[in-house]
Amino acid sequence: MSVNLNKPPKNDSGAPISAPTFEDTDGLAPQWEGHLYTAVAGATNIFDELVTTEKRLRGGWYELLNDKAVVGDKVEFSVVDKNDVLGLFALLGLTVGVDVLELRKYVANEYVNPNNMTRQSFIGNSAFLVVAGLYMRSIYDSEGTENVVFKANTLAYE
Amino acid sequence: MAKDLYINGEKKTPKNKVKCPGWCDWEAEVKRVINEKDQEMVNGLTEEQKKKLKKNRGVDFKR
Repeated sequence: MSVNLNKPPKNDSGAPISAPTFEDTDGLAPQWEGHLYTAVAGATNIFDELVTTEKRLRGGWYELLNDKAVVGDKVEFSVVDKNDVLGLFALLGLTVGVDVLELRKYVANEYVNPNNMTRQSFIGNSAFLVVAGLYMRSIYDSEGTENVVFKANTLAYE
Repeated sequence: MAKDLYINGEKKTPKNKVKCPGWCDWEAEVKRVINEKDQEMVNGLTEEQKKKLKKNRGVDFKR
């Protein structure tokens, strides 16, 4: 069987198959949301931001704003449910106020480069729906002896 | 020795963090919650407003 590469593939109904791209945002508007954080030296620092409206999370970036980071410092990002917004706590035997349900960790063990203060970006090849009541959790795990100032931005569509 | 933990700048005792297991379809739960909120919103509309919403958004109140 010969394949004509100049023609797009078609489904069983004869309609051309195409992959959606982010050029088409389905009527949604991008929203860049920045947060300024100070991470306490030598500690694990969690910064939770409450999601207040339904949105589609696509990515984000962080940037070191002072030169206090050291080798071994790392950044993580996840979405968590702290208040049983999704109704999964009972199923998993969890308790509100005691447990935190990590739905997905999008950035893990991202070791920062203390010598590079430019932004480090993460952009997904898809968008992830989050709903009001969940939390976007940034973590800065510090190994140093001086507080680190950094900013974390998220890119979402809503 | 475990490191100190700060949450939004305040020193805290760590909570028990549980990862969502693979069989747990949390993204479906997100869609369910959104659908329920949509339905609640639609329930509060008049018939005229519902027609307008359907016309403007091209949706039949379900995603």
